[in-house]
Amino acid sequence: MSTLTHKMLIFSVIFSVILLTFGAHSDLQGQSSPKVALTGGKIITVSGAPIDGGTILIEDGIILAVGDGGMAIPYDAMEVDCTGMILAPGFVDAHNPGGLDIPNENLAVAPFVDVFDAIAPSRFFFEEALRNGVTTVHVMQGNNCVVGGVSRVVHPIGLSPDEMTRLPGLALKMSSSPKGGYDRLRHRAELRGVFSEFDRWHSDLSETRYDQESEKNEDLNPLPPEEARAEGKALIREEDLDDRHRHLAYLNDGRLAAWIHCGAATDVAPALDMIEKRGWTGRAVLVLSGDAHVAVNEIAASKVPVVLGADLIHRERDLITGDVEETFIPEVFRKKGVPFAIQVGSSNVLPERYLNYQAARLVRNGLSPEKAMRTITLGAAEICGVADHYGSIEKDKAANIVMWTGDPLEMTSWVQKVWIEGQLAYDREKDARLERLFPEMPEEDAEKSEPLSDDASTDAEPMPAENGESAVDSDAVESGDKEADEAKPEPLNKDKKSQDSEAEPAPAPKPAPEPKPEPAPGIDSGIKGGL
Amino acid sequence: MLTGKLLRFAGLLILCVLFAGPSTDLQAGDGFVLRAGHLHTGLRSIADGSLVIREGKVTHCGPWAEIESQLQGDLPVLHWPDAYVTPGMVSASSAVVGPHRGQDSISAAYRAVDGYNTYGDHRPFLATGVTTIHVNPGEHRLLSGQGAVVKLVGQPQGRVLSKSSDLAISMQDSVDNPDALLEIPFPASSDVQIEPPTDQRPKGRISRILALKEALAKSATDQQAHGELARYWGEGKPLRVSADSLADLHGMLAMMQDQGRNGYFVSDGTVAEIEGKLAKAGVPVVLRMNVPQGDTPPGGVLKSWGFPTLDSSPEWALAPPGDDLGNMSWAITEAAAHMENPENVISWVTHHPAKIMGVEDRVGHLEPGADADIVVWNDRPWHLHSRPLEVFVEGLRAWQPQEKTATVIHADTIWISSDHQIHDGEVLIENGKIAAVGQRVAHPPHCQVIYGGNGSYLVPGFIDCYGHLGLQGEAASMGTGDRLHRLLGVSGAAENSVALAGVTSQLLAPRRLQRGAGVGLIAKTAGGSRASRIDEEVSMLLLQASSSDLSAMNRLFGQAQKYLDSWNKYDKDLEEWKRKKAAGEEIEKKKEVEVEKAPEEKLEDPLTGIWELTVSGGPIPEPETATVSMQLTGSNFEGRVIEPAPPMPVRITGTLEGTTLQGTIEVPGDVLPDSPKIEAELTGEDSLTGKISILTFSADIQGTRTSKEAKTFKVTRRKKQDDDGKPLPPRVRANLEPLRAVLEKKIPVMVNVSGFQTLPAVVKYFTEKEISFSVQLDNDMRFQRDLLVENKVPVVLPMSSSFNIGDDAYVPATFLGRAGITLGFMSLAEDGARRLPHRARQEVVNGMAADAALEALTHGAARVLGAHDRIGHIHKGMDADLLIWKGHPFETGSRLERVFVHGEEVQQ
Repeated sequence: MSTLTHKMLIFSVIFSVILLTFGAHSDLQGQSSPKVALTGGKIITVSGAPIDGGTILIEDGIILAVGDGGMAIPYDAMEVDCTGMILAPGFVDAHNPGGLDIPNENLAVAPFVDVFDAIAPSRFFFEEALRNGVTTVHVMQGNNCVVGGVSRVVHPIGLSPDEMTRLPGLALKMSSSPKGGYDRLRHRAELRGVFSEFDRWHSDLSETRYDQESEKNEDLNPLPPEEARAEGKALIREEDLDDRHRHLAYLNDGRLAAWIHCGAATDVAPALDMIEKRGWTGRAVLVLSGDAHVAVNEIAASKVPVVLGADLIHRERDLITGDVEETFIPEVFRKKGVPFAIQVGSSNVLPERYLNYQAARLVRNGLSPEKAMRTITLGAAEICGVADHYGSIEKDKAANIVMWTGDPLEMTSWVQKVWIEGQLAYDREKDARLERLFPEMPEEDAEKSEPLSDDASTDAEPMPAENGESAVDSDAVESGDKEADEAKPEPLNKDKKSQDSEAEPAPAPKPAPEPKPEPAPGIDSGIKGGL
Repeated sequence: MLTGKLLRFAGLLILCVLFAGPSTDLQAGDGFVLRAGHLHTGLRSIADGSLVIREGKVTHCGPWAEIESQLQGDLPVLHWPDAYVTPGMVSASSAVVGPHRGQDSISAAYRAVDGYNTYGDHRPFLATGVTTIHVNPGEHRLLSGQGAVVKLVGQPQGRVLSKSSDLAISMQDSVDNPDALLEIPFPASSDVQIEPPTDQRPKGRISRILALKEALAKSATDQQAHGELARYWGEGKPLRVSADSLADLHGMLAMMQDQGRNGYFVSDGTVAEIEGKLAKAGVPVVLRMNVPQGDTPPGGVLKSWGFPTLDSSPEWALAPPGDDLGNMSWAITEAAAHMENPENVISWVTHHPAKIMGVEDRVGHLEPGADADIVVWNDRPWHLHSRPLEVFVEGLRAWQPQEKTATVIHADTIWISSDHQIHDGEVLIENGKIAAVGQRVAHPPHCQVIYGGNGSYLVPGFIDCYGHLGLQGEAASMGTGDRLHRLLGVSGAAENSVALAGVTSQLLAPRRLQRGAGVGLIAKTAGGSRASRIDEEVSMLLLQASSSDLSAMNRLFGQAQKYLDSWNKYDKDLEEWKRKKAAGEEIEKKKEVEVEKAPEEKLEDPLTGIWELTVSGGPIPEPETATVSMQLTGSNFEGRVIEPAPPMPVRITGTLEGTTLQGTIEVPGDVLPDSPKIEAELTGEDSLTGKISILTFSADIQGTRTSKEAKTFKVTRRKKQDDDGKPLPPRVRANLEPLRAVLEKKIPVMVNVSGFQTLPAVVKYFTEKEISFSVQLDNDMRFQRDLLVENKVPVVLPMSSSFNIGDDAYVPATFLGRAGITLGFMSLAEDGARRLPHRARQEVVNGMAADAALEALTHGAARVLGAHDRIGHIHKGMDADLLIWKGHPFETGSRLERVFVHGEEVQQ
């Protein structure tokens, strides 16, 4: 292990300049062997009870086994000691347009677009997702549409949207609340218009297909139009679909889910009505904002799960008395047993952009920490329909595992390492951006409780490359150190392990190391965008 | 501020208790009976009508007498005797939704129901009395879309009555020259040509109907065209045609007949010109009332806004100007003014619009089967200031004003005084006080308007100048130290009977005065608490004078003067002390005042020694004796109880003035609720007699001195200065407080005069002292009538009605009244005070002017009692104690109909 780290560091120095632009994560890909064993950490499985000092065995990006400390580790597995750390499944961001270069929200009716065309792998969003423990993102366009584009599930690593994609074509975004510049009358008229036009096109196509087939196939008798339409539906082939209607046809035949935004309570009933009438039940999700939670009874009756807006608190002034009433929205849905996921905010100044902060708000307002954790992992995966792969640490699931320094819902904990499909995708020690933000300093200075000051003495001491090695390699996370750690002010970019190393010097910003040149073996580049 | 709130809260609680009906909170599913002075069901008007509501629907409707007999008794009855009840109004037009922002000039795709927020809080609209509205996709396009009919409140799923009630066609000028339609090319590629925008019609008035016909023709071949117009046209929805010019009206009428379509017009006053034609075609109209001086239409001229008589128009409906629900009341008022019977306007905003829009099975009327959407109005709805007091939607209270404190009473005659009456006038009552009087007073929002009706005569509540209502058999004599208000509480049956006779205030006086003096208190005969019934604890000093020797009265006032002086001195000292303290001057500290140590030499000490006291009567079943040691120092005495030995030191302190002993028994701790008081008179050398009282109980006390040697005990002297030199106030002496108030001219005196020579002495005494006083007459007074007239002494007339002991020329009420003397009547009774108006009527029989009798019962009595600044008049600022009579109170055939005390009606 130490050799490996050493090599990696050498790589870092050599290729740093070239690869700075690829972000902090890419440098770490491919450093793991096909078999990895994460040992000694506390495992929050989400699906079951937490395991203290447990072991996770990963092979080819899939979790092979999860067990306690007594589990046998294969001789060829690379062992990573996680003692003192917490291992949790990567968070699942159930709905986020953040990874898009340009959201497809200009055209009101655009069922033909796909977020594939707009996903920008170099966006800070993905880097930041990794840094905060998000390993699965459902990239979907925002709410400002009548019928929007098709979404997909991606990993926040990869050099192209293809590399990132894990599930293309998950759902079609729609809205029953007025798009900007629209009112409800125009919005709904257009929304109805889209489907009434599609239905006509579809039945015409069915009729045509039946006629075509009946000409070729003598078993098929010519039928009157009504019957031909009914029979012809099954005969429609992929190549018969035109670009304009393809995604709508997928939505129609069940290949796409329907995610409908409701920005107010009054928009919920029309959305549910559409779900029922168009047969989307079981694959529909409501994306809520505003006061839509007021219609919770209707939502609960329809058994449609919901994704809540980032602002989890709704405030409303009574028109008569002037009193302001505050509602904690997740509580409304919890009480009625409606499955919900929560979104993060897009603001760069509010902590709502962190999923664990959002989950901590749930705890603060009465949810148990276990349920809050489930909401941003397995719960969100279930709503997105990807729970068989993501959201928990279980055998046969994708090995998307985040190493935390403490309880993930604690704001003082941070992400130390992230494995995506068994590969180390992020290591805070190598996080170039953090190093630039918080240059390290000599240990003596750190002890003087000035962790962030840019002391002149930092330049005095050169940093031997071995230091990094010893920091990682020392394996010195002993339980006895804990108290000392807490008492000591420490630089933010250092993990607990580095506390033990002597005289950690801080050079000028360390350039980002180089990624392994060959493509990551765990990423199936065979999956292409589009359907 | 806080007190005001508390008072209001307390008032509310009392209201809840008293009139449990209207304040009962209705739960979903509960039924109730609503009874009202006037009920208009939307189809007919019923006086004293009532409704039975169960499960949000009206199940019965009819006159109260009819409904009452069928009642099972399980439903609460909400009774609004003065309210006018109508169905929730139906506004045939509103601006709650739309106009839509779509581009199409002709499209049926836009549905107003989409824009209606079913979860929205529309309660502020309910304040207009409207509960159901038509929502419109707009009138800005030739065919704007589909209208809908919705309720403003209710369960979100149930608010929509008609999802698609009509196709909205507009002939307004704004429909002309719509923007061209731009198709976005697909796919966006250089291969695809960008088509120029498609022109839309109409281009002007001339092509409107043509464009419509063209669109219909196109939709017949293309199902998708014009927002699936063919489908909705085919459903046979009524057309809602908005048109304000005669040409358009004629054109559209012809087209509708051509196409065999039904529908209705939305139009302004212009439509009156083709009224007959429309009636023949069976096309109803929603008349949109224009406000005067509205905007001039572009290119048009300002239209007149007057209307012809609207009585003959068949089943038309009203829409508010500008579709603004806030203007609904204006539209109703204006339309009513053009009707022979203004009540007809109710149907125009209830049943007619509901029928036109096809929702009359549920709303717009209150006949059995209809939704219980009910508005309780404070006044007839066609009066400009009328507003709802309550709005029910589907049997549930949906809206009520936040505060309802004001009442307006309308009467044919408001009697201000004998020479000033207002005919067809109104009185505004706010917070229990009269806030305004006049021909037309302000109507604060949601005030209850009460109509006295034909021949109604509004007079101030009558005042009894001397009675005992509330004493309830309490016959003990009471002195100036007693406080009658402690006997008062919430008014009961006795008080109610008096109040309902019209006597709203009474001077509550003891039956017997102790040693010729006592106090009286003005109390209301109705009220939910003691505090609401009285204004002050002492209203008047009562004195008895039976001979021209006024020495007892003199002594009393002498003591009072000394007492007043001690307070004045204290006030002065305090002022001085404050000044010095503020200026930082040195405050000289007096030594403790050394009161005379020894009794005065020449006089024998009348009190010092051992006394045997016997307490008897009152609540004490057997006489009790006690031995008390007393020590007199100057005029102050101090004593201790020796036998029976009390468990704690019981101290008696007080003063001896002349032969009058006044003191307090100080019992430490909270053993007794109040300190017992002793009042006694030294009746001989070694004896005293008097009474001992605690709270309202009193017992007689007799004492004899057995030894002149006092048992010694430690005497503590009162300091007259605090430690920092601040003067200490004199001891408050309850018995002298009323006299102090008299001397300070805060309260007047009423003297019961008897004996031939007494009156001149009394008049002289009080006139010299410049004390305001009145006298109670007895028979001897007829010889002094000139004196009364000369000095203008206010007189309280006795209970016996005549003085015809050989002096027919002198009937006091008539004589004194005509001489300009202020008169008052008294009852000398408990609930017998209800005969007071009858007593006054007897004087009218004896020749007193009816107005003079009324004055004596109101202004006169108030003046006698010194309370003319708050009762006895119908003036701004006075207590709202009012009586509604049918006819003048002292005319035959008149009767008292309603009584208000502090603005609250006294219930039977």
